[in-house]
Amino acid sequence: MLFFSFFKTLVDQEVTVELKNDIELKGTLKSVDQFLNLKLDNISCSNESRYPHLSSVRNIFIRGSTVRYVYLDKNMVDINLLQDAARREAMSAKK
Amino acid sequence: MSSDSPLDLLKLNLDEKVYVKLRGARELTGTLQAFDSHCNIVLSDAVETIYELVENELKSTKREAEMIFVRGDTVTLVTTPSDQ
Amino acid sequence: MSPLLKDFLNTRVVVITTEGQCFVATLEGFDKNTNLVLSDVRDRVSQQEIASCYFLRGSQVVCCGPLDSGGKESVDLHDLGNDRNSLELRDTLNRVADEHLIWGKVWQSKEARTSI
Repeated sequence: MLFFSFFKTLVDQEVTVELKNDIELKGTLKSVDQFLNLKLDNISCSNESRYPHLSSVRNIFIRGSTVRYVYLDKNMVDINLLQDAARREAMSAKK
Repeated sequence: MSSDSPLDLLKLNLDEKVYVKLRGARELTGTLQAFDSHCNIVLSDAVETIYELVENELKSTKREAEMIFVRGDTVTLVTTPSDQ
Repeated sequence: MSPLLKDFLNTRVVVITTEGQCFVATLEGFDKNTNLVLSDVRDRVSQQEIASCYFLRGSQVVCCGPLDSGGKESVDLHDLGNDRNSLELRDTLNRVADEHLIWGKVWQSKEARTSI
């Protein structure tokens, strides 16, 4: 649940998602679910000339299992809060 | 502090430099900010290295990210960096 | 469960699969595993009709997004000056041939560096 909550705090921020098929999509994070499926608005493809398949697609649903990385900006994340949440998650997972 | 599951060890590395090995001849080093039981990870000041063999010569490409979320299913190893 | 796809129902969507296929189709239905029911399924590049009705397993879905109204259904090759082969998408498996050999060399070079 840690990363579900984490991504919920990033809603309405601009993120870059790198998929496992090497496509990179930049867009505004609109929603997340518990599988970490993502919905991005106003996407642009960083390597569009190589992958024009998503031209004239503005909003997109991304299945969480196909995500490799999500690139974020430092100022989007409260580091202390995140580390504390990770410690708490590790405690609760012990059950 | 007791560490009865392997992932509990990672807790001790929070806010420390870690080395993460990934599937597909990739590796990352960065400061561990968060992780969960699926090995989903957030690193800050991360450097990704992608290795490939070009005519039997090792070639590496580096890429930096100030904050990066890594999906756990590609993670194969997390440890402290050896060159420190 | 997952309401993320609800807004896209009954619209023309672009779907990319884990095998690297890319379709344009009408989204007829979905469930929480992202299984998709698609109709009038066409290839994104060639526009060739693939099926009138298609059930796509959720585990094969990479992404799914609606085409802009007025957006072209096919990727126009001439606009991009690409030949068709370069339009192929990768799969999501990330199989690297001889990955163990690569890591072997990586360790070797690291050892060489630390032993200096």
